[in-house]
Amino acid sequence: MSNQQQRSTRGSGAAARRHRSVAAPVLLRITAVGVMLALWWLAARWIGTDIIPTPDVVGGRLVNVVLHEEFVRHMTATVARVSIALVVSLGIATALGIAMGLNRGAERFFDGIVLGGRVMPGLAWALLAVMVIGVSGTAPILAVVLAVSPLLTLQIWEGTKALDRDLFQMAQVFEVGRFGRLRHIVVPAIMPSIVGGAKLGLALSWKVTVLAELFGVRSGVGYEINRNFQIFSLDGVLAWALAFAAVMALIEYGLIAPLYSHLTRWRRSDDRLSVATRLLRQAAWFRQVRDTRAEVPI
Amino acid sequence: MTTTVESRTPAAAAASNRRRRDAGGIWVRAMAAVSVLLAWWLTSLAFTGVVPSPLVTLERLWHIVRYEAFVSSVAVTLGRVGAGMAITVLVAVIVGIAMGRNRIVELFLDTFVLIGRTIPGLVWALVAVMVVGLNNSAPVVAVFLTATPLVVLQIWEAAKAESRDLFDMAKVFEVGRAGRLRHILLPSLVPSIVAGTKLGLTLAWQVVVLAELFGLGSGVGYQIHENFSNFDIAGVLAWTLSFALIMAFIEYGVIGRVQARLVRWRPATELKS
Repeated sequence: MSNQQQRSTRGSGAAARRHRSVAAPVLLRITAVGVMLALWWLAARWIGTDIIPTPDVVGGRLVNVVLHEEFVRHMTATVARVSIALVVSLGIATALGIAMGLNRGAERFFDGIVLGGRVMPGLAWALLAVMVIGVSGTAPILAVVLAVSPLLTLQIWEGTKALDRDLFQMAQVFEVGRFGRLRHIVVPAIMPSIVGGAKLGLALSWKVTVLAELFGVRSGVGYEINRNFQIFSLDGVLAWALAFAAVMALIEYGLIAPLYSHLTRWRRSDDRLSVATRLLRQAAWFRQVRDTRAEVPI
Repeated sequence: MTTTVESRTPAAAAASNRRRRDAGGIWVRAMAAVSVLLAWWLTSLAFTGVVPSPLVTLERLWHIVRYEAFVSSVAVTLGRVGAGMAITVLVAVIVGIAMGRNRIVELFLDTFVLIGRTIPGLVWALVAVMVVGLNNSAPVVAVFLTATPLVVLQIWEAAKAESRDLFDMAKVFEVGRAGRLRHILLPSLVPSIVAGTKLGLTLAWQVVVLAELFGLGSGVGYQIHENFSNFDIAGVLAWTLSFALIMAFIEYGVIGRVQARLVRWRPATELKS
């Protein structure tokens, strides 16, 4: 708690400082990007443009990739694989994570498997999935599910374990049912770790998907990256990688980050108090329902 | 709970707690391991000829250790990982401290740290192989490019969070800039340097294996590629599993232990519940 306060005061201090001089940092950052591009250009000129393409060549290739090289087809193939795999992994991880966080037996049974699964790299799963399933679109999905699920389970498991036990006990005292506890305490409390896990999972799963596509799928961004690597076209590799990273960043900052702040807004308000109020209201409602039921002859 | 804990040291209480928990858990955990092996075995029965059974994989591993260049391949790959990480940590400590202590350096470099973190090691491995060529430097360059942003981020944030009080006191007592760096900043950064190294290592060995896979003639990645090309799934499994275990041992067994030792002086915060 004190840590949080400290961070918030530091944050507001930083905000004030930022407010005082907005122009200077922006200018500095633009200069930094300019300097970096200039260094890249000089390095390319010095080493040889046939080995390192200059930034403008990569930029031109990027435009060409987006306009003329079946960008939409490959991109949708990869994004679809990533999304399916991520949804499946999140489903597995949420069920498993909540079970592990609330039940000692489930925790003991799965903790070794989850921690062991984290050790296996995405690369291994990508290779194995391609070898076992063959060159079909399912291989990347299987690889991602196997590689990402342990990590997400770990997140949600820890989120569930960090539940507010006091609120749980209070809910029991006020006779809030199992479903009410799940809905008002467990779900809001682990929502951040689910969305945080989705963020983490997205970052990992697009890399594993591209890897699996690279080893033997005939469509998707990974296939294009591999094709360009085989014909020794570095500008093609860079252009495809940049385009895909941009789309993924767009999904992360445009979709998942707003979702995260939306779902965690209750934390920013006086958290425990508001949850307690909601619980009390719920308990009152439950009692009312119970009492009316008792009165009304069935 | 509190009354029993107070009479003993927190460490002893935590240890006995852990022991009590493990006594019941060991059978469940053993059962979990057996079920994983069983699931693997059943999968191999369902996909005969495609998925190798656990026993076949173990035999293949034994064969690799006995007759194929297991030790030399692992040594080559570990050497590349080590060289790459050494350069990475050295650069990351310098850049991280500069970014944490100097606002202009921070504003100049923070964009690249954040962008660099999102570029996958796969891309850097391909770029390194294409630019540097098929030699020993390619994986080292790939590791450097992949891991540096991540390690810098750890050290940068820690250097930024370092308390002003000690610095002010040091200034009052006229401790010089070098003295402040050596006696205040560096000791306080050691935990984040170790944590960053651990995080970076996870990326580093995968990037090295990838670079080896894309065309180098030696190392674990090369062996995996050979087995992949021959469609020897047991071989791929044996190589990846054994190398992943070696890296897990280095990460958790060696660096994790160093980490635990480094934070021993801190008050036990886990004992709240």
